[in-house]
Amino acid sequence: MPLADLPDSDLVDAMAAGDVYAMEVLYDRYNRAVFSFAYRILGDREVAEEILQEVFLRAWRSARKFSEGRGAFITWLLSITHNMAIDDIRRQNRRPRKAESADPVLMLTNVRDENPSVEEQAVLGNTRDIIRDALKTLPEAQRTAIELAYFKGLTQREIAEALDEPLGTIKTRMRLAIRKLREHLESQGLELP
Amino acid sequence: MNEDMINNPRPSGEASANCAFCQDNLEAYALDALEPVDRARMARHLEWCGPCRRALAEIRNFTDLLGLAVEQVSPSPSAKTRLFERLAEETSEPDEQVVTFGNPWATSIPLPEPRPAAAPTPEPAWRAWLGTALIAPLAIALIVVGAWANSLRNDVAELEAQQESMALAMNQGARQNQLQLYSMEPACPECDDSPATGHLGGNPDDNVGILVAWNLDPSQGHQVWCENRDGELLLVSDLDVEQSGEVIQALNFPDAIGGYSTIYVTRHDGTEEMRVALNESSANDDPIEDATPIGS
Repeated sequence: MPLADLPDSDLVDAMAAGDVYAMEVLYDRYNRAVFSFAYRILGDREVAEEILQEVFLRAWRSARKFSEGRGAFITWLLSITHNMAIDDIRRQNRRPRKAESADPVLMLTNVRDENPSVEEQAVLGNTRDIIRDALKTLPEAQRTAIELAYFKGLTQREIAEALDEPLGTIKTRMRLAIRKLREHLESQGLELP
Repeated sequence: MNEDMINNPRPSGEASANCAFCQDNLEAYALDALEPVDRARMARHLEWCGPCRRALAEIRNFTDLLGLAVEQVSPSPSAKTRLFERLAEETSEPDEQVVTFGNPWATSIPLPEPRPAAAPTPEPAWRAWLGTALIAPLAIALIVVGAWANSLRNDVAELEAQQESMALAMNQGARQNQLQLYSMEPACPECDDSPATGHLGGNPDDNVGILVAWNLDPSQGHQVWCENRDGELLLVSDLDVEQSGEVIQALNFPDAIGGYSTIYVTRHDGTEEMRVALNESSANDDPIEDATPIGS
């Protein structure tokens, strides 16, 4: 079977054994997901491309560790991406450029993808649609709380100050939002690649 | 409270309170939206609490996917080229195998066995330097006093002065012996195979210490926290970790080092990477680490 047809788990095993071509297939599969996420957080293409490289280099170096732990490769990649991007924001003490002027509510709901590849669409298309649909089911206030925390790196206290709301209200919104999301995604039978 | 939590082996009344705090904050922790102090408190609890750790993992299965919801845009084509050039540089060390399968990278990239995450790197030279640096003041003091004693050996009156100076030097030496080197250990060897290790040097009666550590992940921010005997966590400093994963940094603690029960090195997400327990009376159940006086 060609490497490009293998599931993520087999490709990660191959990568752990030093197979650069397996790494290339994984890169082709997920580079847009990683880059888009980093770009969404940082609002800077150049820095987002640096993060993209670091994420895949880290995946290469830690492939054996991941292989032992198992789990979905894409969630691992996105988790690394989030850590690195938010870390960059906090280290530089700056906020994403694009996010400053954008409407938080529209960031996650009215999105239009550019040129998805056939393979990426096949692997992630359905998952992405389910997550976007789940986000649309949230009340605007809850979605905004998640947006400000996860994509802008704000703490609950900072969100409360930014929105001029009590801290307890923000905590409740965040908790309810994640629980609703989880219920929705579980009811949709979300399957990770 | 679920059955797992009721059966939690932690033999402390503190456990349920921590579980309650943890359950209330799991979502915020997964979104990285907690204040640093609360994040560290959560991380400390998650380190030993299996049920809460599993609950967090389930939530993260969903929160980590939120990144997929954003508008999809493509990186520049050169990003891929640069990545594989860097990979080639990283893997082009001598006496390592070259991949043999038929793919575009096979002819140009020598491939090593992938580097295990926990592979220890050689200890840096400054580790030895630390010991030398701490011993040096005592050694210099003794040499100076010795030379002085030699020049005055025929003068009885001055010999008395010399003896007095010797006593003073010895006293200083005793103070120097208060400098201690604490070994930092992985916070959770069972749940985290981080290769990070290091030492904290300092006088327990003083609030200044030196942290030396290596094999830290340079892609993550790190902080040093201390916990006092009331269980209060205080941020000491951010750490400037080199790209090599090494750090040597002077730390100013709010109070004397010996007054703290535990000192932690945490990652940016609040999870602990290393710790040293300083006092047996700590709420922490971990054994006390060696506190070896320098020069003894």
